[in-house]
Amino acid sequence: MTAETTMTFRVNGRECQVAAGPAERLVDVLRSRLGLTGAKEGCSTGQCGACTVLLDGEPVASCMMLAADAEGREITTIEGLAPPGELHPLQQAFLEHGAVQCGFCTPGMILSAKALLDRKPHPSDEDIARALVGNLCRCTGYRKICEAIKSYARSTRGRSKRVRKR
Amino acid sequence: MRFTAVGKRVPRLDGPEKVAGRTQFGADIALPGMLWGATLRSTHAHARIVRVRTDKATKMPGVLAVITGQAFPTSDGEGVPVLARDKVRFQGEAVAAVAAETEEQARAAASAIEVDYAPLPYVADVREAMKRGATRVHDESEDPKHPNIAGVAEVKRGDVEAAFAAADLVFEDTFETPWVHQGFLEPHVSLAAMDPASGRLTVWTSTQAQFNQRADLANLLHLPMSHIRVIGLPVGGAFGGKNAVCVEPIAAELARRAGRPVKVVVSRRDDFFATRPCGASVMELKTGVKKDGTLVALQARLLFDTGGYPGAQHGVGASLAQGPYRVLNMDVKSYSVYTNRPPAGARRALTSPHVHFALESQLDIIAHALGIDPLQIRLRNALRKGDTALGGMEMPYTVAGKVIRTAAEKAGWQRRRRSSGRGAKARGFGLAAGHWSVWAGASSAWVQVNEDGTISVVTGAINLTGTNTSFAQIAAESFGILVERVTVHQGDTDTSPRNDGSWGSRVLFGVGEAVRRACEDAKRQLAEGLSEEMGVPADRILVSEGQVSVRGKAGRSLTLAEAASRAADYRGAIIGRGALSDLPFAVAVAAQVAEVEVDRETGQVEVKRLTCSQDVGRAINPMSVEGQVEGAASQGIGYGLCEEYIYGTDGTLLNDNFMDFRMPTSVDHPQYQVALIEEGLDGGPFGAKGVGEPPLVPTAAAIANAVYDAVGVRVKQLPIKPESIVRALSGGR
Ligand code: FES
Ligand code: FES
Repeated sequence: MTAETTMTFRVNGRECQVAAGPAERLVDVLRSRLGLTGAKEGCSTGQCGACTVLLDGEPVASCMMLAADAEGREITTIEGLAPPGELHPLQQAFLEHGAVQCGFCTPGMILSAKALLDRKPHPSDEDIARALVGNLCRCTGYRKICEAIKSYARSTRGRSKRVRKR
Repeated sequence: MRFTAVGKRVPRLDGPEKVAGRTQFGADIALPGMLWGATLRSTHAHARIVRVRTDKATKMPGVLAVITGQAFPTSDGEGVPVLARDKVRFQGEAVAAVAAETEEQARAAASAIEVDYAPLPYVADVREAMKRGATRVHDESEDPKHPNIAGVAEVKRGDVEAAFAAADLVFEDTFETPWVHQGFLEPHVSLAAMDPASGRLTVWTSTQAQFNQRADLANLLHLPMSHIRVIGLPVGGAFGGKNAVCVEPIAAELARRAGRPVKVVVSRRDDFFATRPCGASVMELKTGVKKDGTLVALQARLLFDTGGYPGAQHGVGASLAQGPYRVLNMDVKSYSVYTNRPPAGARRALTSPHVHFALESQLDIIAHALGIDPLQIRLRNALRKGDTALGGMEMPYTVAGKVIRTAAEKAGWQRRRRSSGRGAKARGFGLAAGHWSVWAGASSAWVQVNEDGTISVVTGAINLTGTNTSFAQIAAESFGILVERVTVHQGDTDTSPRNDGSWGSRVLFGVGEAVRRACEDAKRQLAEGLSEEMGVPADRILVSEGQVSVRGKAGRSLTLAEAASRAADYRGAIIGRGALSDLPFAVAVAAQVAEVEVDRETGQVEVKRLTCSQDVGRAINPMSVEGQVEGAASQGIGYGLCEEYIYGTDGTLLNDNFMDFRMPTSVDHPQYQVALIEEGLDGGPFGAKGVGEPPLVPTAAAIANAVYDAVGVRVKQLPIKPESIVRALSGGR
């Protein structure tokens, strides 16, 4: 057995110290050691996107990353998008637009969308499609997912305008 | 009829947990003291097992149990051994399994099991397998001439010989479809625990059919059903791929031997080559027509690859062979054929997408040869009320033509403009239709009226497509209350009434009707409970709009809450029961128009727009129905254009991952247009019928027909590959 070392991350805004082996993947640290099972494992080879989390705001496949390489960095998982019992408006938009069926792709999908929207609050259809290309969904056919993201983006446009007027 | 809850776009009731990432799928669950299971799988496509040595593995660190084929003397309900016994019949067949403290230890021990194989010649193609003298997949086959026939179904009708003689033209074509994976994102996973004191087994699993799992486990483990509790978990996609038992019995037997809970998570790679994907087919059609396009005779030989073990492909294939059309003279022979491939499982509408790819492509060939509009030839032949359909069943209504016409109208079929002019890109339109028959099967539900007037629905049906949300709408409609006043619970095999699996598009149709009937039963019980107090016979008491009142008497009404708490006092819990299996088949027709762009230089095909119309009877929840249509059509695009298993010459699967087995992504999805036909003509709840499978049926054919329209290339083999188009356009074939 390889020796475990203590690693420090910021996970969902809180500092975490975790004992983990040098070969341990980020997805295992999140799921098994921190109990954050929102990141799903669909392929283990970086090809499905179900395990997507945000690393310093950028989507990464946590099955392809060593936990050690994420040391000292800011990780956001689906659990960190909204306080318990609440939904982020983007999550709400997925729900209301029927963008969720089995829900296995959903956490990764929402996080990829979140990263896009943080970078580009009003993306074009093509931007959206491109941003999700690493996240497979077998249930929805993608249209409702894209619509949910567009409707969320539209709603923030309205809000920021109002804010500016005042 | 005006509805208050039915027909509304209600978000999935389990959606909030799902978007929050809090839904517990199988891989997310852990039990105290839990061990990990791992399997050793065959590296050969076909080999005799000479010897299996487990002594080394047994002594490895952390190992608590090792099992081989001897652990399961009987095969599962579909005839597939859990662990291979005498020989392996496909690459990936499980041979042995291990339980150990950690996943790594389990995997290491599994690969330390030594198996001596005596390799055998193997057969990988249904045509080869049908030849005299072909390699036998099963030694004990009874038919010496065709040892690999696993099942035959025939449909004979009218006088085919005479009809061909009288036909103006006869067309003969052969079509082929590949092996594909269902593509669910959550790999198979099961967790089992046996209580050492009582000997009771609990299995948590990602399955479409928990009661069937229980029956199979009882059989395989020689336990009474009452000693087995199967808890169907949230399923991360299934599409037919989680109908049958997979690693459940392995987890259970390991748990029994180790005396501790065991979890088995199937790797993506194993899920590709070793569970039950969708089998290939070769379909030979001979069709006679009149000059006006009337279909007069169909002769077909359908070969479905069932892999190493039996399946149900042939029966369904034969029963759907006429498509949604009137064909008076038929002679269809349909076979399931053994090969050294994985056992073929179901995939959305079983063999209907295969058969309709062939039929609808050929119908297009016929239309073009006769100079008839592809829409008109379909309308001319569409099934009408009283026509014989589906192996002798009579069509109870006329709706096929309407579905086809609607798709065409919505897609602008008459105004369509093919642009095959200059430039590299050509646009084309393709129309195809298809049908599926929905069978309710054993369906049941319980409905409890709580003392505060809320309703609790319990069924044993696995909620895949959002059917629980539709059940809430059905119950809300039945009582005239808000959907929020209803909760729906998916019980397990201990806590809910028996149900068939969530397959065949049956859940909303059959179980939804059971929910509706259970609501009616509960309302009857309420009325009986209150009859004395209200001083009128029960049949004069009316439960509607959330109120309990006396028919014809204004003013004397109770709220549902008041009524429920009083009735419960008088006669105990108000629990309505609905159980049925008596609904007739409902025929669901779907039609689609694909608009594609074909690049003449690269052969790339892009689906720009897909217009889908479907007879759904009644859309209980239009948002979820659209989701089913779009999701299924997206699978159809994959089936049409990019998905296929590629095998090496040694019979091993080469593309066992999502990079090389390409499924549609977010950049591949077309514009969808969905039209739902709601005539409510069958016996389902409020006229609803099955929804989830029919929309995959016509897609591949619609794309193939559109490719032909765009560039004049007829591809008869799925998937439609760029290289076939380029080759055909450059004159080669
Ligand atoms: S599990 Fe990480 S990308 Fe599929
Ligand atoms: S909702 Fe099932 S994979 Fe996307």
